[in-house]
Amino acid sequence: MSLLLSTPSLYLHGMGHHHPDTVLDNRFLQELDLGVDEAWILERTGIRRRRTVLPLDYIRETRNADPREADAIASLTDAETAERAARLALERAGLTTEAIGLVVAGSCTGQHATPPLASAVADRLGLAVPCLDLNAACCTFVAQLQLLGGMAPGALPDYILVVTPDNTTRTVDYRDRGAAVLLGDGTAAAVVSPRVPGVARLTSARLESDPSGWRAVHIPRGRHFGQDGPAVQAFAIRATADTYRQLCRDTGLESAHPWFIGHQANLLMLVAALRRCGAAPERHLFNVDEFGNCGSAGGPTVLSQQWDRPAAGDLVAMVLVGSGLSWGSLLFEFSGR
Amino acid sequence: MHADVMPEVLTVLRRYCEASGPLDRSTRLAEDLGLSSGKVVEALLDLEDQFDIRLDASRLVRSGTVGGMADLVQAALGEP
Repeated sequence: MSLLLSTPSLYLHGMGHHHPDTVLDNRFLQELDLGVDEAWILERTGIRRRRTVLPLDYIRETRNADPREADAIASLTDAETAERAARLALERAGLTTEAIGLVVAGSCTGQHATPPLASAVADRLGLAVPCLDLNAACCTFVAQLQLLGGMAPGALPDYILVVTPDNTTRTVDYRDRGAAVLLGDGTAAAVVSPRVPGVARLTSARLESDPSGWRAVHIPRGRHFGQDGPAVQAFAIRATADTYRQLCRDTGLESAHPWFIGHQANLLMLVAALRRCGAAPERHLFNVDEFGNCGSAGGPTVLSQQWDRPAAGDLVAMVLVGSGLSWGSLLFEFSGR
Repeated sequence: MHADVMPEVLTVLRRYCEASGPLDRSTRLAEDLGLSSGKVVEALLDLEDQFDIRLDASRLVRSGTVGGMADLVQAALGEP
């Protein structure tokens, strides 16, 4: 059973992203005495560095043993990183905040059980519009666009702000090398419209889940990130490859030589998935080597960082997988700018 | 029927390591073959495709031997 939209009604007007300034590189992790060195981390993850909202001294001194302290000491809140990403998305869309009629947020690591993160983001932007959160862990961006694209356009405002802040290092136990080497902080934002044509059009969206695997990746409230590493790596490779092949069958995609963006779990996972699904390595867009696994923000931040790259007529396939277990795809067709 | 899956397991493993010597059931994936857990997972997925089965990566990484990998495949095939 899957949610499939073969004719969604959604246009992409602008993407934005934000990564905190503080760099968390492999040398720093090596010096935490996790039993790994720089070469080990690079060989096994393909990740060179990440960004964090946490002060490095705090990580060095506490290892973030109590993740509840991380919220208090973080340099930026989720709403603040979302605001920065949103302002870039709006600028690229050629719009001001007044154009936005709905804010939809989602995150793997939201700071508040309630209210919705979207409300805090809207407040920072000075917006008084409907706000709601829509989460599917690392598949959040797929879920957000899939559901918005399936709604009757008349039920939605002209422009919608979608944000995925994931400042996940707040949940990392820096005594756990498996988590420490992977996760980084990032935020993505998109301005979309159900009716006003934009830079790209969403032409296909699919979302699937296997809830029996919900325990495989988890962040209990107030506690650390944890996952069954080998099982999740196998799932991520398998689901990414299968989902891309399904997208090709649904849309006849392969002959169009699409750009490929996957879930930024780690570079080895992405390369293995690419090898299995037949996507062209020279069309593979990624940022996990420089920013780590940014959860729900990973794939969309890649699209934002590469915003000017797709030419008119180019297709961009985004395949995301994540906790839930969930997986899905989005296909964008770019037009002239 | 797959009376003995060891030849297929060895063929797949040799894709991911440079071992030139003999491999047997007691050969350790990490210590003897230098395989990271990521490479073990990839080998596992190759075997899944080859036999059209689903394998538990966590169990394999814990057992960590060539024989453990063959046993996992055999169990998934429903054979002793």
